[in-house]
Order: sequence, then structure tokens, then C-alpha cells
Amino acid sequence: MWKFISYELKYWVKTPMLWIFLLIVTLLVFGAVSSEQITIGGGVGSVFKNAPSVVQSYYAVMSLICLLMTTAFMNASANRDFSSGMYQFVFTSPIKKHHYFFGKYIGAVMIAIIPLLGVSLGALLGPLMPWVQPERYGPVIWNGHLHGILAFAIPNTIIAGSLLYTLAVVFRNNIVSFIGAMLILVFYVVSQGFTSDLEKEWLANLLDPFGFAALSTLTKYKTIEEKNMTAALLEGQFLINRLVWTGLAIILLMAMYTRFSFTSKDRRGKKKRILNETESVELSQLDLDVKRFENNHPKNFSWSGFWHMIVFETKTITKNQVFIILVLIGLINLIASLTSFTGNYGASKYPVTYDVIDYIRGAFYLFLIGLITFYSGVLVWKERDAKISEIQDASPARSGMLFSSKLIAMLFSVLMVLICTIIVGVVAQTAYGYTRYELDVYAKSLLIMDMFAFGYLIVIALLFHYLINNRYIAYFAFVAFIIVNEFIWSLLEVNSKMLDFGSTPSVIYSDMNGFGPFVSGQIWFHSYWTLFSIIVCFIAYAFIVRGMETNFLYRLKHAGATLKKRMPMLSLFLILFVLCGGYVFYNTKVLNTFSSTKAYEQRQKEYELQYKQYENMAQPRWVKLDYHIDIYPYERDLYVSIDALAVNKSAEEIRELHFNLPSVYNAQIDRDTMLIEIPNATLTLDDKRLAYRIYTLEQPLAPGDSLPVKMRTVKLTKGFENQVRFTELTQNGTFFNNFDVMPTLGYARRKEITNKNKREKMELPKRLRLPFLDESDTASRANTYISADSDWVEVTTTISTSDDQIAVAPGSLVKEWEDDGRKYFEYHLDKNSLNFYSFISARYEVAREKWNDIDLEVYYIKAHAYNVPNMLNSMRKSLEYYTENFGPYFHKQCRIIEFPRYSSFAQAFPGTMPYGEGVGFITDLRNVSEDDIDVVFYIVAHEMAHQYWAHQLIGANMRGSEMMSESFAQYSALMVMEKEFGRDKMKKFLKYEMNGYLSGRSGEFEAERPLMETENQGYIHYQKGSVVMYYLKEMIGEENFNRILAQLLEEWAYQEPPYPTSLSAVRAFRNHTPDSLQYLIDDLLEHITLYNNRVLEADYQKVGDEYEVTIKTYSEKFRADSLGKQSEIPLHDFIDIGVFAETKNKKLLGEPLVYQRLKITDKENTFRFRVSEKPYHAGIDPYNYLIDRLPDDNVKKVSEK
Amino acid sequence: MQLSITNLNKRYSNGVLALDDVSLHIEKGMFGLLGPNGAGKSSLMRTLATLQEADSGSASLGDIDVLKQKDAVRKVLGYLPQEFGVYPRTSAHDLLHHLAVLKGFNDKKERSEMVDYLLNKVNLFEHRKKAVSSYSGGMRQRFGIAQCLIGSPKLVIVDEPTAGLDPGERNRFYNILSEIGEQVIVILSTHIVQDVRELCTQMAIMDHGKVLFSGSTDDALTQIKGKVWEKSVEKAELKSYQEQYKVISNKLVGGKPQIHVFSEMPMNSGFQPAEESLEDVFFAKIHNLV
Repeated sequence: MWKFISYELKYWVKTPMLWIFLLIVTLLVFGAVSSEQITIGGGVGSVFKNAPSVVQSYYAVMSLICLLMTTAFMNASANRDFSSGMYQFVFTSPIKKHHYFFGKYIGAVMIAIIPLLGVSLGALLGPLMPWVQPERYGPVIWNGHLHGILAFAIPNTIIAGSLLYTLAVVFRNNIVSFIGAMLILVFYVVSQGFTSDLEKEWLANLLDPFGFAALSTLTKYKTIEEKNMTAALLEGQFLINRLVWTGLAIILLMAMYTRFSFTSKDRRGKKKRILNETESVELSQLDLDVKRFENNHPKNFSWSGFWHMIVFETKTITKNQVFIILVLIGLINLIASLTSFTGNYGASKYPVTYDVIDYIRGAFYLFLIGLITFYSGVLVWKERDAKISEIQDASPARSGMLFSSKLIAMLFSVLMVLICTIIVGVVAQTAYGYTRYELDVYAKSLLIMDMFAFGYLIVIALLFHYLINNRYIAYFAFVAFIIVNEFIWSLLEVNSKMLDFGSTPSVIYSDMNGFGPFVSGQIWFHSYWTLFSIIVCFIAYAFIVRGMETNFLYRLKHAGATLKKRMPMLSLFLILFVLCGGYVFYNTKVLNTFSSTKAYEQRQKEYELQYKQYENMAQPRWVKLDYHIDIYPYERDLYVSIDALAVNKSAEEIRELHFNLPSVYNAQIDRDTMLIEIPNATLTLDDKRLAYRIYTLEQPLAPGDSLPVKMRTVKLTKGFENQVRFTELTQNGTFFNNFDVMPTLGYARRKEITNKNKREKMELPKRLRLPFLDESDTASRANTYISADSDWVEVTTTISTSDDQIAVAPGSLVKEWEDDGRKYFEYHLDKNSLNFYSFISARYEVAREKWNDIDLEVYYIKAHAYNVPNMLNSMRKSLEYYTENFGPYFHKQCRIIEFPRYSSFAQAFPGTMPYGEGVGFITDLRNVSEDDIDVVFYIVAHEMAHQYWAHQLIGANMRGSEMMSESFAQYSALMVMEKEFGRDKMKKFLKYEMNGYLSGRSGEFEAERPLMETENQGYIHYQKGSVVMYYLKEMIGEENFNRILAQLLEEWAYQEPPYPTSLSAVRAFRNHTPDSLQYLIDDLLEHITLYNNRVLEADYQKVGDEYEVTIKTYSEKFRADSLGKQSEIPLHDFIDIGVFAETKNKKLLGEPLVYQRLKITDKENTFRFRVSEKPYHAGIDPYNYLIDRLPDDNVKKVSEK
Repeated sequence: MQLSITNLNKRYSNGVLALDDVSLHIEKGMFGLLGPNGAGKSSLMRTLATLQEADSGSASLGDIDVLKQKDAVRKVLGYLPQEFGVYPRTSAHDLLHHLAVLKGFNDKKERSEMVDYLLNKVNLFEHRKKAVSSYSGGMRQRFGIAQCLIGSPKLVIVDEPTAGLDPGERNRFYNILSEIGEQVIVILSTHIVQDVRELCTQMAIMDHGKVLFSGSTDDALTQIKGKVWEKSVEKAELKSYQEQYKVISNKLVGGKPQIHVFSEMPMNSGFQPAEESLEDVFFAKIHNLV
């Protein structure tokens, strides 16, 4: 057998292919390790760029990318003897079948692993480069390389290799191998679909043939420290996955080996049956004359002939089995991804059409690009492959017709595939019982916009094939073109979509707003690219190969002549293209502007360098604002004027007013559209580029004095943009907040670059995300973390919009009237609030209800009425709980207002809660099972809670303040939910929260903070917040907990600065927590604490009528530092021990037979209980209240001794 | 209508001189183009079939400038390349229809009538539903002829059509070809002397891109009449004979080499006069003996 292995090795070592593949892999990984621009499978964050876990994950990703290479090796090894005809010699020589079969296999597998070793090469070389930042790298840790090879490189090559090798040996058909490779990919993609649902995670772990899913499950709670130190070891589901798939691969190999034989090989010969005539033709039978058929239409062109050609070419594609199989695989992939519409917390969503379209794009488009790549070559080379080209070329058929019939055939085929996907989409929607199909949205998205985009690709693919006239180079050139086109423009910092081939401004379809603001840009950019493609068609056509003259220079000369002949037509299109291009340029570059991310960041940097000096300068603060807003939704125009009053609340005189202009302001085009009028003040600095102004007052503003300021701004939409911006202002669903239109006073820290690595690269000093938690830092306590130029402000608004829309501003509606075909509304805020509110206008349906004099309102669109009653219910229940437990609600209304899905969030403003259309309005709550979470109810309760936590009690601009807004809001929502749905429902919710926290800290970019110091860290203040607050409530009691919150409100609600810090809250908890539980405040709020609780053994013995249960447990407690480095600390904790009866629900525990909160001080403990019912489960911290990275081993089935 | 070729030259990019000052004059009827492999026959045919350019020289078919007015040539051309394939899984009927569309027969009824007639003509009508790729060599060549005849061409070019056909198939093929030859110009290139002998009255011999002879087959034979002598020799003697005489050819007859020798003078010492054949003309020409 060795001679076959060594033959394969020697053969491949001499081929350039192997070394090219190795080079490609090495370069990719080298690039990812040594630069910031290249990423493989997502960035690495704060982990060292050569950390063992990173190297291992590169092995994982590369083993997927190398699937193509593996296919090449396996196919070539398996088929070489056949394609070269050598098999007749090989098989007739005295060799053993298994030597041949396995020898070649082993040789090919060994070779296929070699390119993957480029991962190690790249990862070792990268850090040695002179340009890298040394602090981003750790020492070389070999176990990353080892486990990458052991867990991915070898098994994945064996898995893919076995399948591909056996397919190649048995079917001897490239196409079958290709399909095999696709199948593996489909398995992978399907399994990825299950990862978002915690309940189905195990399925993903098992189904993924490459083992990614299992790896990410295994590592998702790993801290940075751990990721820097070790790779994931083969254990648990990861090990099972690797064993199962490798085992399957080997079984397949064995099974196919039995089918393999030297004799029945030449399937092609078998298949082919040569016809042979029996009759002989006598000369005398034939007419002596050959009848003449003259062509009566010497023009050579007719539509019917053209149509015949198109049909003929289209059939070539669609009747081909590869096409059919590829489309089928794509459809299966699509159907698999359509089987679940899962949003947050595992909740289902209605399959709205735009979502289905996104699924189609995700599941199918790679296949379509593959089809275009493959079939452009097939069609162009069809005649030459069939060796019929000489006949065709010598016929009088026009080259133009030959070319365009191929082009149209490609377009047709893609169109047919797209229509199939739409049918699948509609069927899927029907299967969900959803019947609002919106065929026009399907057609516009897929059959028009996407179809055009595919058309451009087809034209370019044909161009490459005709121009290059070498199929493989042309394939390569096309793929390289797509890839280069994908990144080159951002690398060159060219952001114009006029250069990025085939690109158009991105479009987000919204149920509320349709294609809204994107339409005109789409039309013009598509016209531009279509004209461009037509010109490309002329070139491709001119280079068409007719006859034997394939020399490029000859064809170039000939092409010149052809183009000259077509000049009238061509110049017409050239003129149209130039005109269209000019118009697009005028709209995107002259009427509007755009800047690259780089340029934007450069401005951020300059802003910081230039104006940070003013950060702590005393500025007056807004106290009263009167808005006059006119929205012209259909023109996308906006006129805002604000009469504001500012007061000098500081102790010093103020001479200068510093203004940051809002995001609607764009100096380059909207010259002087921001007017600021201040009595007796002169504009002393007007930095248009950085949008900063300084006005100097003639008379300094004395402490306590007030100053009226008038501000006017206009946002007009002119033409179309390179990329539609400010979608906040739109046809149906205008939704912007005061920061969008109103200048802020003083230096704005929020404009600084925040990313740690980026700052380092741009040579900016290290920046704190938020100031340290320090009660004596009065400067930071002078502001909330929301705004820096005001405290509690009085707001009145007069807002107008078109007559078919409703406009909403903060507060109560005082007046409503119509004038000149427009609707006017006047709103007054009932209670002075934070200077943070929104203005909204759309065609709404309104659902109204009253709860104790408070208006409950939901503004929504007709198609999204599903959850409106639920929202009203949640508002009502929230108000009940909050007013009873926390304190009064100060507004006269609670509004939930739907806005288009250009943003996807729900946000709380005073009395008003805008809620994105994709977030809760289309959540499907029809089949909520007993452990499902009602996300809609939850989010409303959370936003309602913000009316207290943020809009009454708001923390200083300092670490930890978000705990008082977000963690308290999470707690409040949990309590409302618990009251509505019962305790059991909380478990799934908390499970997701725990998961979110643990994986969030694993991806932390800078440093994990304890809860009371959270700084812009959602996974801490939302998710850890839920877990911790709920547990704290469990320990100190709901009533006690709520009293603490109520007292905090009493002390701090609507208070002028200094604003409270999280220390006030921590103190309040301390004061109301019994001595025995004081440790909880340390553990939960002040430090990062983790547990490792586990049941070692659990058994029972029947004693008379009763059962004696013995539980052996193991517990550890850790403190973690900001990088996740753990150190053990002694236990002195109350932990729950429970014994549970049998239950039918697999996801929940049964009735507790014993449930005790016991003080645990030892690591190993043994507990004995007597229970009257047969025990089923036993556990330590069975409900997972404590933070534990392995929550599943807390409970164990009880066995009989 | 006649085809005249004047001083045609073509050199390939690899330096091979494919056509070296080729001039021919071809009238209606079968014209045989004889030459060994690589003589330039196919280059000439392809040039005439508009598939290849010439470096210099001219060719005209009646009023048509073959080198410049390609479209005009294509309209009156029937071309059967040396090697041709077909689309997989496509029946003769469908393929012929397709090719007829390429030749501009857009009217469906007219086209169907012609396709059926042609299939009948070449005796493939009963096999018309079968894939052409499953045809035997002879059937496939007859299909090739059928497609040649679409639209009643005035110039038919068939390049090495009989290679690989068994004798029966070859005969059938000749029958069809000869019929066509009665009406239009048919150029038949071949390296098989017998083909020309049986079918053509006019012929040319080519080698290394040059025309070594052109004229009627009878003229050709006259050139060597009485000047070819044959003798059976031992294998060992072969070399010395080749040095001594102008050996036209040697072949095995009954396992023993038989040589043909060119000599203006009568020969003795065991040489017998050989019956003059085109084959001898062919070899004599390419060995530059005449």
C-alpha cells in the first residue's frame, strides 16, 4: 500500500497546485494576524491576535474554505488513472484492490492537510513583522496549533475527503463530486440556523460537519484570559461531533470500498450505445437531383429565429443536471432556513415578506453567483466543447445574435430560479398561516433590483470569457474580480457607488414605508449600471471568437473594426451612459455629499484634538424649549425652529457659547442652513467642517441669568444620495429626536472615537469609556449620562405634517387644527423632563385606552395590529405594578409608536415609547407554549419601567449609572412578567439572560466591570443585571427590594445636579440587607463573582413509605478580574438544594419535594433528605440563580441505590 | 460560378508556413485536395470557409471576395469540418433545426420541410429522434453532409470526411457526395488517394503548404506513365535500394517489402513495370521526384 501512498505524495509534491494552496492559506492567515484590515470569521477583539484559541478558530474556518481544495485533490487522485487512460495498465497489473483504493485515499488526505498547515505558518510569521503593535500578541502557545490540527485540519479533511473520494471513485464524474461538496456545505449552513435557539443548540453541535457550532458552544463563555492561554480541548459535544462525523466518513469509505472494483469501470463505454444501421443504401434509391432550398429571407435576422436561439441556449442551462441539482440544493437550504423565524429570546416572528426575502438572499445568492460563474463558461464554450463551433462559425448566423441569445438565456435562467424562490417563500408564508404575501415586494426586490444586479455580473462574466478566451483563466478572473471589487474601493477610500461595479445604494424595505426614500437612487443607479453593462456587451460582442483566429491582437484589430461598424448604436449608448453618469454624479456629489469612514474618523480625531480643551468650560443650560416643526414627509423636507431659554447655572460668568451642530447639519451643502440668534452676541468661530461654533457675548452672562436663543434649521432633500442618509425623515414613519435637529452646548464627548484599537492606531490618547465611579467627582456628576447641556426642561411643540398623517411630540396634545391642507398639533410636556425626546409623523391607526386618567395609546400601521392588545395590556400591568411599588407616574399619557425598521430598537422618551416595526409588532405570539417568553409584553414593561428608571431617577455621567436605568428596568419588567405569567416563565428568560451575559463577557473588548461600574456594557447592565437583581430579590424579598427602589426615587427623582451614582443604590441595598446576606452586595454588585456548582452523585433508598435521598455536591466560588482571570475564594454562601418529583415537561423541573436554602462553607457536601414521593431530580442551585459557566450539571437524575 | 485562389499565404504564429503561395482554380464538380497530414489542406479549407485569415493573396467565389465578404460566403457555404461533434443528448432532428436557424431559415414550416427532406436524403429519417452523439461514424458523417446542404450551398467544403469509416460506410458517403458534385463546387480534402481516384476529376496535391500539382486526375497519371517500377526485396536490402534508386514508396506485401521506384529509363534487374496509380503520383510529388 505504501507505494500508492508514496506515489500520491511524490506526484502532488511536484505539482504547483499544492504549493499555491499552501501559499494562499498562509497569506490569508498572515494577513489576519498581522493587520487590522483582514479578518477571518470575524474579528478577535481584545484577545491576542495569535492566541491559541484564535489559531484554532482559523484552522476551523480554513478547513471550510479548503473544502474546494480538498475536492480538487480527491477528484484528481481518484480519477487520474481514468482521465489519463492509465487504468488499463494499472488494473491489469497484479495489485491488491485495497492497496490501490486506500493507498490513494491516504496519500490524497495527507496532501490535502498540507495547505491547512499554512494557518500555523501565517500565525507564526505574522507577529514577527516590523509594523505590528507588539502588545496585540502573546507568546507562541503550541497547543492552539496542535488542537487546530487535531480537532479541525485532520478530521475535516478526512470527513470531506472520504465523501469526495468515494463519490469520485464510484461515479467518476466531476459534477457528482461538486454536488457532494455542496451537500456538506448545506449541512453546515442548516446547522448554523439552529445556533440562535438555545434549545436547539445541541442539534447544531451535532449536525455541523465541520464542528464550528460545537466549538463555539464550547467556547462561548471563555474569558479573554482563557482564550489567550489555551485552545478548546476535545471534550463533550465537541468531541462527540468530531467522533460522529469522522466515524461516518470512515464508514462511508468502507461501504464504498465494497462497491469499488477494477472491472466494471468504464461506465462511459457502458452507457454509450452506438447505433448501427442494418439496411444498405442503394444508389438507385436516391434521387439524382438534390432538391434546392433557397433561403427566402436573406436578412438572417428574425425574432422567431432569435427566440429559437434563446430557448435553445436556455435549455442548455436548465436541462443540465448540475443546474437542477444546484437549484434543488439551494431550495432545500432555503426551506431549511425558512423553518424558523426566531427573534430574541427564542420567540417566533411573523414571516413578513421582507424577512422572507432576506432569507432568500441569505440562502440562495451564493448559489446563484456560483451558477453564473459556472454557466457563463459553459455557454461561451458550449460550441467548442461539442466541437460544433466550426459549423456554427461558418454559418451566416450573426455574431450579435449568438452573443445576445447566450446573454438572454443566462438572464432567463436566473430569473426562473428567482421565481422558484418566490414560490417557496409564498408557500412557506402560507405554511405559517400568514397570508399577506405582498407579491409586488417580492417582484420589486428579487425580480427587479436583484435581477438587474445579477445581470451586471452575467455581462461581466461573459466579457471575461470572450476577452480572455481561456475558460479557466476567465473563471479565475471573474471570481477575482468579484472579490477585488468587494473590498478594493473601501481600501482605496473611494466610496462612490459609481465605481464599485454594479453597486447601488442599499435598500431597506419597511412595511410602514415601503421602499420609501430609496426609490429614486435605485432607479438612477440601476440605469447607470445597465447602460454600462450594455456598453460592456458591445465590447464582449466585438471580441467574440469566430473561427480559428484566437490570437488576441488579431481579435483586438477585428474588434476595433466591429465597433466602428456599430458606432451609431454604440455612441448612442455611450452618450446615454455619460448623461446618466453625469446626472448621478450631480446628485450624489454636487447636490449631496458623502464621505468615507476614514474621512469621517479623521474629522472625529480633529474635533477631539481641537475642541477637547473646552470640555469642562462652564456653559449655560437649557431650561425651556419651544419647538416649531414642519414636516413635509413626501418631499422629505423638514423645517425646525426652536425658541429656547438657557440659564447660567454655574457659579462663574459665561462669555462664550459653544455649539455643536446636529447631525442634520452638513456644512458642505447646507450652507448657512443653521441659524442661531443670540441677542448681543457675535459669531467668533464658525468651523463648518467640524460643525462647531463659538459665539461671544458682549455682556457676560452672570450666574443665574438667562439668555434666549433662537435656532432655525432646514433639512431639504435634494435629488438622491450615494447612500440614503437621515432615513429618520421619510415618507411614512418620520422619527427623529432632538439631538438630530438641535445644537448642543459645549464640547460633545460622544463624538470621540471610542474603539480602543482604532484610537491607538490614530495616535489618540487612551480614552475612558466613562469617568471612574467616584462620588466626589462633582464635574462628572453635573451631568446625566444622556445629555450634557441641560437638566429637566420644559418643552412645548407645534408640529405640522401632511394632512393624512399624525404627528406626535412629547407631552399632552393641547390643540389640533388644519390649515392650508396641513395638519397642526400642539403638545405640552406635563412634567419637566430630560432633554431627550422624539418627534414622529406617519399614517397611523391609533388604539386608545384609559387607565386612571392616563391615556394608553398605541400608534401602529394596519398590517401590524397583531400585538396591539398585548401592548396595551403590558402598559396597564406595568403602570399597576410601578405606581403601587415605586411611586407616581408623572405624565398624562403612555404612547407606543411604531417606526420603520431603519433602526431596530425600542426606546423610552418621556411618556412616549417608539418601538421599531421589526421588534415587537411582528412577533408571532399565536403559539406561545408554557415556557415561551412573551417578548412583546417584556419589552413594553421594560420601556415603561424607564419612565421611572432614567426619566425620574437618572445617574451621573459615570460608570455604573446604567445599572440604575437598565438593570432596574429589567428587574421591574421581570416583576411585571412574573405577576402576569407566573414564576416558571422567568426561568427561560433568565436562562437567556445568563447566556447573554456569559457570552457577552467572553467577547468583551476592554475590561469587564462589576455591575455597579458597568460602562456602556449591555451584557452587564441588561443581562447580568436581570440575573443579579432577580436573585437579590429572591434573597432579600420583593417587598424589601421594592422599598429600596421607592426610597431611591423619593430621594433622587427629578433632582437637579449633582446626579446620583450607583454608589447611592449600593448603599441603599446594603442598608436594607440583613447582616447574614451582606456578602451578596459584595459578590453581586461590587465584584465579578462566579460559581461552579455541581451534583456529583444523587441516589435514593426506599425506607418504608418514604425515600431517603442522598446528594453529594461540589461547589466552588471565584472572583474574576477585568480580563476574566479567576481566583478562588472561600465559600460562605446560602445556596439552594432541592429534590424534585417527576415531570412530563422535559424543560422544567417537577414539583419540589425538598427545597432548602443552606449555608455552604465546604466544597464537597453530602445532604440527606426524606421525601414522601419518589424523587426524580436533585440539584444544587437548581434554578441557576447563581452565575455558573456550566449550568447544566447543577441538576442530576436521582438513581436508586 | 467558380472559385479562384491566387497567391494565398499563411504563416502561423509558431512559424509554420501553412499556405505557401497557393493558387488554384476550381470549377463546378468534385475537386480533390490530396496531401499528407499537415500539408496545409485544412488551413486552406478553413480559409475558404471564413474561419481563418490569410496573410496575403486573394480568393474569390464568383463575385464574392472570400477573404473580405465573409457573410456573403457564409450564405452560400456548406462546410463539413474535419472533426466535428454535436451537443450531447440532442437529436438529429433538433440539431438540424438549430443549424438551419443559424443559417437563417427562420420560417418554421419551410424549415421543417427542408429538415425532413435532408434527413431523408441522407437516410437518417428513421433515426431522426435519436441523439446524434449515439450515431455510428458513417451516420454521423452523413448527418454532417445533411447540415452542409442546408440552404443549397454553392460551395461545399468537406475536410477529411472518410477518416475512420468502414468500407461500407465510405461507399454510402461517396454516393451522396457525388450527387452534390453534379451541381456545385465540392472541395474534398483527403489523404486517402483512393477517395480522389473514385470521386474527382480535378485534383491538387499539396505538401508543406505548397501546391505540387493541380489538374485533372488523368493528367496526373500521365506524368508518371511508364516510369514506375516495382520489386519485392529483402528487408536487409531495403536501405541500399533507397540509396541507389529514387524510391517512391515501400510497403509490405505478404510480409515482404515491395518498393516502387521512379525511373525515366526502363529498368531491369528484377524490376517490373508497375501499373501507374494516383498513389505513385502522390508520393512522387511529395518526394519531389517529378
